[in-house]
Amino acid sequence: MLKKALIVSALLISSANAHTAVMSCFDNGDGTITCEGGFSDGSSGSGISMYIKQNDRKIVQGQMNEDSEFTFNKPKGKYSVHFDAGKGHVVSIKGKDIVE
Amino acid sequence: MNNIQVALVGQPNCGKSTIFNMLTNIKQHIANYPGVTIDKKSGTFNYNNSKIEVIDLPGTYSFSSYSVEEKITRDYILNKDTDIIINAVDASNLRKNLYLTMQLFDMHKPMILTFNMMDVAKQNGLEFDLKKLEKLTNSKIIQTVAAKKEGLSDIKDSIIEVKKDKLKYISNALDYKYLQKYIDLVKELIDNDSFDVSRHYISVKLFENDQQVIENIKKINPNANKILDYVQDLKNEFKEEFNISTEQYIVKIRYEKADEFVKACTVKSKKQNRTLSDKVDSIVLNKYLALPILGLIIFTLYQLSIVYGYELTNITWPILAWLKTTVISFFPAQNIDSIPYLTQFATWMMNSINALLNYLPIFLILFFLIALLEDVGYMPRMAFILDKLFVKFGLHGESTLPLVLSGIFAGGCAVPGVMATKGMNDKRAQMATMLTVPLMNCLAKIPFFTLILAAFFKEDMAIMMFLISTITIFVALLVSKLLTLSVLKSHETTPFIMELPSYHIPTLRGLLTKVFDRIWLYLKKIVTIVAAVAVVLFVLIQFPGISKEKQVIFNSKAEDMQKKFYTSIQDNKYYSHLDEKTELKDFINYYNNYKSQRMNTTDAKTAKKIDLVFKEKNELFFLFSKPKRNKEARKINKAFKKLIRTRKALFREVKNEKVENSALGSMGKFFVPVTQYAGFDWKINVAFLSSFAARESSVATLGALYEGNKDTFESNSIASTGGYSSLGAVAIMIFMALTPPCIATMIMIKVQTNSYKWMAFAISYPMILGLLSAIFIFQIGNILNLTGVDAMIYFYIFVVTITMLVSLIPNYKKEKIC
Repeated sequence: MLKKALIVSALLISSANAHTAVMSCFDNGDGTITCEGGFSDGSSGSGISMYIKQNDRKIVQGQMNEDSEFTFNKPKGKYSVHFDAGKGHVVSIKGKDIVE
Repeated sequence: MNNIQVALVGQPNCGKSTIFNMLTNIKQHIANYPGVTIDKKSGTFNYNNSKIEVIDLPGTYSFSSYSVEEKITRDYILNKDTDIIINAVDASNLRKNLYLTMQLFDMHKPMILTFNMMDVAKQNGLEFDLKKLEKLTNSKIIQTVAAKKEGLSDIKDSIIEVKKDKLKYISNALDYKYLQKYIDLVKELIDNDSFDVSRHYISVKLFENDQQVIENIKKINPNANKILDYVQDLKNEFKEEFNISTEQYIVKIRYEKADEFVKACTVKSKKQNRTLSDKVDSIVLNKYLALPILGLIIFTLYQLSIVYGYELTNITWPILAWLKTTVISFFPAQNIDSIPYLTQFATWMMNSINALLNYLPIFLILFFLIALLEDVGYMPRMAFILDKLFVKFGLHGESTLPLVLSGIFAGGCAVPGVMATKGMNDKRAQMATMLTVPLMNCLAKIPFFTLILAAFFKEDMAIMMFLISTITIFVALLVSKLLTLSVLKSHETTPFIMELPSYHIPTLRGLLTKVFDRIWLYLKKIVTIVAAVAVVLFVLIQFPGISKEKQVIFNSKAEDMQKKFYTSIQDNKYYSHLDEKTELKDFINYYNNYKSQRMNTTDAKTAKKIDLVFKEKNELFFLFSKPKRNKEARKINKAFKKLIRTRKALFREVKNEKVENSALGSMGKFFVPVTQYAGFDWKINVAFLSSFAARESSVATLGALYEGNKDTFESNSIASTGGYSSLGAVAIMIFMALTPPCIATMIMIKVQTNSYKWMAFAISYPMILGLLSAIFIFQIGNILNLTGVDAMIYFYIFVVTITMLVSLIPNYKKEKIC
């Protein structure tokens, strides 16, 4: 009976809720920047592709680590950080908005 | 003060709701009719020392088929507390609208007829002699242009006037010509005392074979069987003599009468060759242009709501993030080696609720645009264009909107999709639509597909994305057809009789009312229930928790982590400020708090302010968080960050252990005997299950999964070592594409069908379908040694072929008493 109840409740529990991608960045003050990304339902963004663009060129490329973080050396000049979880799920932050 | 109860009745698109809004202004109240989920809108206003309550009844074309809306409307009108009926008719589309009026005449209630949309009628060259019609029908008739608030005081005056002299305004019942003498015969047999309604009405309904009236008679009248047998005899006699069934004859007479009235009261009909609506329709419904225009409108709808709405969420998200941080800050602080249950719970709840609130900007735009399309009058046309295609699959022209909203291409949401099925008249198609809508590409699935495609199909990403996001349309059509031929067989279906109302310019007020009604429904029904379910889920995942042995291991790991930290900073000049555990704990909370506040900031001024506040709170901690050029502090910072990383990894480990031990973990193992054929081991099952439950999105779980198998992936020996091959990836993706929708959608299905059975069905059939498809792909693919891309292409062709084939099977038609 208990098992049955568990199965039923698990079936009721269905898949990932509606969510959108979110990212925020933090200037560590030591010449590096850490961005944390994920989804609005609190789920992790680990494995999601990340890149830094300067003058329309990707200068750094990588992935969110297990902690859903991505740390990179702060580039000189204008740049932007992109969290790319697929079409409609791209979040970009301009370098000037990441303040020390 | 006098109380007057007024029921507002009319066909859809006659401007009934606009009249309602005009009358009641903002004093509206929305509740549910008992037992059903149709909104009951009522409003009150005071006029001439009377308190007038208006009920806005659901729009209905007739009272002949037994949809819930029609039943409610009918019951309400016949209720003896209802003093006056206001029947709104679209004056520009009089003949069709009067069909309902003819049925209302049979009900013998004091009635006010409002000829609404007089401006459109005039534009179309129509003018009416309403005095003449008043004499013919015995009801009060007035003209209104509700959209411009014309005729407001006329309605109010009429209500008072009719109430004063009720009997005077009871409309004449229709004369059913040849059938009338039969009706009269039965009338004599009906005992009037046991009914609140007229004998004429009951008699007519008996000849219409109205089940509800028949049931009623059986309950009340001891001679019921005799009467019913007599009616049957008369019906047979009539059919023999006039070669038409009484049911059909009644419909015929009503249309004839409607025509008669139209003729009698129309004084001027300088039939313009083409009205403005006709002109627009000649383009919008043009054989060649209809589809491209429809496509363009859908694309715009999608672009504005989903794409731009999504961008708006980037602006609104920080507010929600702030809300979350603020709420959590009231809960106990984190320990070095654990997070208190209460704080975990608060985080969990805030995440669950924020996930839903985050969608509000999208829904606001979406609901507004839909209300706009509805009020302009394009919606029925959209249904008209696609009906031919959809009918083949048991759907209906009206299924278009729900399917579009749910993401017919790349990303929608099933919640508004299911909500949009509400107005559908064809009950069978409505169910079919509601059950297939969740198969569409909901927005939440997109990152998941992208991630897995990037991992396994880097080169064929575009084609794979196209295949995966369009295959669901074919699956939906297929499923709908199969459901129509099986479980939905006995549901009532109605032929496509959809009028195309004249286009009209909507009012902002009307639009906003609709938008807020729907948003409110979403908030009320979804957020509250999801919050309740989130509590249950939290418990399910937390307990029974971690075994004692494991806890010992985790404890020693936590000890280790702290030891390492202290060893690395023991010579540091700041050592004494962190050497006590409470100090370290405080610093961890300080740092996390600082970081999350700074993360939500994008402008330099606020950032400086936050820095100042934190500096004031604890100067040393601030220095450790932002050491700048201070060498000693930098060392602390470095060691501390390492500690934080290890701590996070440890927490992750604890969480995984917890999930494995939990009810969900056991279930993952429980399903292995079946899922192994699709290539899912127990860990994937748990990943899926926890993705259902924990709202740790599938992206995260599969992300971890992919990370875990990176080595095998790179060593290129995936298939042989039992890691995840591209074939396995396709199986997983297909499963994900077809698996049940999110909890919010499920709740919405419960709300719409008012049945847990259908909700359970809506959850279980996609699971079975998804699993069977995954097994099919994995097994056949393995036997034929197919790559993922091959398997996907073959499966696609397979599904499309079957879908095309089943479209040839005629739909089972339930015989309808008409």
